[in-house]
Amino acid sequence: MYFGYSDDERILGDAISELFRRHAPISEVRKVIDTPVVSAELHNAIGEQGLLGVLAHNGSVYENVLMANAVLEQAGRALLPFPLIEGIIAAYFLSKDEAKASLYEQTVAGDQLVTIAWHAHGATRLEKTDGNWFANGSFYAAPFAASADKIMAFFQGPEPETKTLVILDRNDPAVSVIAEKCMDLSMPLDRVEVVNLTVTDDDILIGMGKGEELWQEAMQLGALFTAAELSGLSDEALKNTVEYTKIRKQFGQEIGKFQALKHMAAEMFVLAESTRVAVIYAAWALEAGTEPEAVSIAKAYASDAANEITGQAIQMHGGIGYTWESDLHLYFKRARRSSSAFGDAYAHREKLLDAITRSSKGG
Amino acid sequence: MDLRETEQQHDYRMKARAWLEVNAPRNWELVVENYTELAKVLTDWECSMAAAGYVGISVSKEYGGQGLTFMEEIIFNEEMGRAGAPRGINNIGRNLLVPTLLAVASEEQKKRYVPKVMSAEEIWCQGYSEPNAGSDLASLATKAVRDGDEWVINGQKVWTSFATEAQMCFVLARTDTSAPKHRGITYFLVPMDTPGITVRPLKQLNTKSDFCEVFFENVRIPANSHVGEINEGWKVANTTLTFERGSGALGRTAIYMKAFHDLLALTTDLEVPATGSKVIEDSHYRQRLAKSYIEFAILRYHGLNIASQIVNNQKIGPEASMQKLYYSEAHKRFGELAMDIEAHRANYWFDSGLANGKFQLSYLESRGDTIHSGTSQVQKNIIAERVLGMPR
Repeated sequence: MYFGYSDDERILGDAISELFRRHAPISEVRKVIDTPVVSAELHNAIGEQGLLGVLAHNGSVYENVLMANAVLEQAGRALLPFPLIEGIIAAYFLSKDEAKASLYEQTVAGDQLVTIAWHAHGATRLEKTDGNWFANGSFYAAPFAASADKIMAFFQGPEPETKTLVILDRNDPAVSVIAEKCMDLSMPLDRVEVVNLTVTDDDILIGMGKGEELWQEAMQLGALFTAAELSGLSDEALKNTVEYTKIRKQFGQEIGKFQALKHMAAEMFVLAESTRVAVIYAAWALEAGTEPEAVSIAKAYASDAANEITGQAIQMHGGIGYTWESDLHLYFKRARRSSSAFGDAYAHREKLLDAITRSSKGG
Repeated sequence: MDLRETEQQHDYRMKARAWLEVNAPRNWELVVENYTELAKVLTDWECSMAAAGYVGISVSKEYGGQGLTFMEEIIFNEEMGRAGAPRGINNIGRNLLVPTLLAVASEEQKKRYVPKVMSAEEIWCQGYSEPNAGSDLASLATKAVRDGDEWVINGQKVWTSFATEAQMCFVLARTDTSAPKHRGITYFLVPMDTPGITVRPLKQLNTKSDFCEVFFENVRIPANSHVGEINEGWKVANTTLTFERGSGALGRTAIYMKAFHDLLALTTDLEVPATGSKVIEDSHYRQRLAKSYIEFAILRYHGLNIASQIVNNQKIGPEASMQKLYYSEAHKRFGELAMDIEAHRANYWFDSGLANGKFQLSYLESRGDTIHSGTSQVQKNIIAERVLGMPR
């Protein structure tokens, strides 16, 4: 019996933490705020480590979910300005499609940047006209789409057999990427418009009509990985805040001596530590192919906890915490964005209760 | 990460489950008002667990235990919770005294005391809290003074569960009044039939009277009645906590999960007064039910995490304080949820109430959970200072 990361997973986590510290310090995060593009240096570093290929499979069984988790916790700590969840899920899907072997290699090596458009706006359709397939649709929530070479998007209709994941070429004239103003500036979410795009077999992931299943899987993975990011982010915000209370003085003493602040910090610790064990358990459950509701437990808890922790972090800093110069608002905003992505806490609690009531009826 | 049960562990679980189905007391919640009857139910239960080999599961055979591992201990705790079985009357002896003795007592003391806990022959109570030493336990005033071959104890203890039933008490008493408060305390083993001891049951807000006051008036015990060194009692008392926290969380999760499912069963019939819809169809309550479930599921993960540290001989730090804070606050929220769901029915309990009034009991007892063994506020101080390193 053993609960927690293995030595290998921990060593990887530490190495990645160091990598992000070097190639994506908070100054780099702030550069993205002014110029919302993926840093080539960071992309190269991620490619050199083959990080995007971390999640693997053996038949229908996941491999290295805990490894991926360890990486994403570090990404959360760093507020990594990079579509890492998208890259890992995209690479994972590509690895399941033999015809996409070359794109897989290029993605993992860092030669191609692949992101995913997570939300559809209105109907998204794949239709046949004169023997050719044409795609139309409007998407949003595509992280760093403007920097991407490829964008994966889910076309939901009009027929069940046209529910398909399509790999869009960002440079195709039928694909346009439009910047949106986001509250969380360190992770720009772009809009993607697809107008009469010709779709060939090369653009289809795994197969026409296979989209629904893949999409559900992407949502589940996305929820877990986002919870992992939130776990790292929450812990980092807490740590930085506690350190600040040890040096900031008011009323002639370090503010960390005040019980009011101690109790706030202790409550944040309970939330952060509970998030940590929930996320690691969910990763294990996914890898072990058991308790699928563990992901909902982790995502629901992590979402609320991160909003609470980052908000209290600002409060504990006082006035400096309210400034643009302080990094806390970056954590606070990222927490808000991530908590609502891949199902918010409300949605995951509803999903969980549904699963519980169904299983208690079934026996 | 490796959380799969081995085949042997699974067999052990199934055997325990089958045994509990037949032997665990039922509807014991209905007798909690009657102190004598409750004590009898819990004493009988302790004896039947002992006879079936479910006491001291991980204690070595040398001391009358079962010689199994901590995993079986956890499994039985979980199954007890699942079966809705009460803790036996010697919970204090099993979970607090025995691990302490095994860790720090002399061989002679281990041989003398541990087997009698295993066989349920000696029931123990805990003499820690005092009227003026609750959260600030180390300021305790009960004194032990050396007189020839004896110690003479004077003072008063409180919150001493089932002291009327106990044959023995482990007592923290001050042996050096000039030392700093943590350094002048000694841990003593005291027979309850020693002249000078008076016990008075204290009725609690849940109608139970198991917490007692214990008065010590010139109580004379032999000079070798202390565990560990003289004036080192604070350290001795603290060695105890790890074990209880490790096996406790998983057992507790099972208890809470059972309560959750019992509550869930009510929600298909009960209506929400405000809307007239069934509770289970009401979004507000669905969300709160899911929140409670999530809190209990995560309590289990915390339990697994600590159990893993114990099994793999890793050091358990003051993070364990977090678990106490976590479960007690979660329990409180669950009690409130149950009462809100019962709405106007919440006021009726025991055989007039829903589910024999078990949620009323849970609701009321949860108010004690955030107080006993260090209040939530004390736990927060511990976390802030010893885990997060905030300045004192």
